[in-house]
Amino acid sequence: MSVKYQTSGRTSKVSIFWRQLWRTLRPRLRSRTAEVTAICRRVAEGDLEARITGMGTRTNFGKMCQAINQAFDMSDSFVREAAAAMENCSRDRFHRPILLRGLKGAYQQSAVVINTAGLKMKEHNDNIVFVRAQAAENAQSVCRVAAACEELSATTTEISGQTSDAANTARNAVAGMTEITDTLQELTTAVSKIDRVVEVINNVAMQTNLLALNASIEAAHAGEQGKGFAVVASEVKSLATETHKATDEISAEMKHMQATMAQVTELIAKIRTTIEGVHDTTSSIAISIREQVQATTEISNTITEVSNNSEEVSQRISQSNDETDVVDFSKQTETAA
Amino acid sequence: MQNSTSAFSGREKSFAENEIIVSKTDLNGIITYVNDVFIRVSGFSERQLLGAPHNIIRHPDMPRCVFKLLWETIQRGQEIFAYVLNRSKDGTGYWVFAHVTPSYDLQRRQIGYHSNRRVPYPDALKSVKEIYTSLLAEEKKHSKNREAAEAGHALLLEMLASHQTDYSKFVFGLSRHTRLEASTT
Repeated sequence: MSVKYQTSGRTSKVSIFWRQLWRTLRPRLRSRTAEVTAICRRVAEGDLEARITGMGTRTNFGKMCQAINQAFDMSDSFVREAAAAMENCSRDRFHRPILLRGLKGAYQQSAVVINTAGLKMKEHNDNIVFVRAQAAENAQSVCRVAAACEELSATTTEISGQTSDAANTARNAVAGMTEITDTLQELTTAVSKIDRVVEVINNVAMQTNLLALNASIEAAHAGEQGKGFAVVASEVKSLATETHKATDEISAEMKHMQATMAQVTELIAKIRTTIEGVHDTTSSIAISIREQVQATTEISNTITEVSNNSEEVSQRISQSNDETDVVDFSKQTETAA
Repeated sequence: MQNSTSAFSGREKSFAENEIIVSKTDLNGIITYVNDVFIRVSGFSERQLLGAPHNIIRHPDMPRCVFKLLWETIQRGQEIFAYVLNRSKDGTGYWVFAHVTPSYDLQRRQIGYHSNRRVPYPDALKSVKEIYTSLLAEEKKHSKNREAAEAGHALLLEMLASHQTDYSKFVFGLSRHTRLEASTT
């Protein structure tokens, strides 16, 4: 009995000790639990700054707090890393990936996904940079082509004018040739008229010669008395002979002249044909050049349009790289309702 | 990691590659939170660390200009990465790849700074030690701390300019592990 009493007495003393200790500790534990709960709620609300401190590391409670902090640290680190890496990407800076070292499990896996996206963005950005350079170069080339086109257009218009002038000149030359041909025709007519006059003169000379012959015969019949008359008849005869000679000469010259004129007429006809050919060619050149002017104007207009377009493309591409366009994420938050 | 030409040849220790040393400070650099890895590696207790200035773990062999750059960057609200030699309570040094970022409350008001420190990448550490040695040599020419930091900072900027890069690109280019291509597998 006594042993049992003693034992139960010790037991009750021990249980009283534990009860008293529990009474002392319970409020502290309650307040600490409440503190941890409050901190966990803050983190749940997105305040990743909240941490549990001063709970020690030796007790189970302390170890639990440490484990909770470790979970918070991991989330906090991931959020900081991911935000910073993406913020850099959005400014076209691709040197800063999420550091995988120290990130665990799903955090590391997500980080790899984000880094892969970053790498893709870098590739796209490299392409944009390349395209931008090309577009700028193209825009310059197009500008040069546009300028050259304008020059070409101006030159072609000038050539068109000159060709029209040439065609007009050729037309005038053809008209001139026609006039010359007409004049030559008149000349030929005049020459044939002269020919007829020469023939008349020649007939007159022949008849005069006959008359002179008759006169000299008559003079011979008259004998001594007709001597003087015979001299006159002889003079008349020699005049008629001279006239005949002269008309023969004129006739020969006339024939020569007629031949030369025929030759000239032929040559002029040839020249006329040539000039007409020149006129036809110049006219068709003028038509072609007019078409060319039209085509060049069309090209010039198109090139101007292309020039404007490529300028817009260049502008758009350079805008996409403008740092001022980057959204400031630090100021943009979705307000919780 | 013996390097007879550099100041960085003392006793060193490290931590696991999958661990991150985490700390948070207020705007004045007073520690408000440290994680278990910080406590273990630094050798201080949580009680000693909370409320202490963050330079409690500063190693005297670190060039001052690195911290000048660090503070200037985070005070502008930007993040910064830096290879840093820290010192634990027993004087042992430990290299970290530190990432320091500003911390904001839910109203986007800046309330302090957050630092994640990872095990540094060995291929970067070699060049970092060389650079820090030259920065230290430059700083030693000046007796006043501020002047030393200014001189080191100027030299660092000169180095960056000669490589035609900025600090962020430079620090990520130091190791092949910190390049985008390496972080997608």
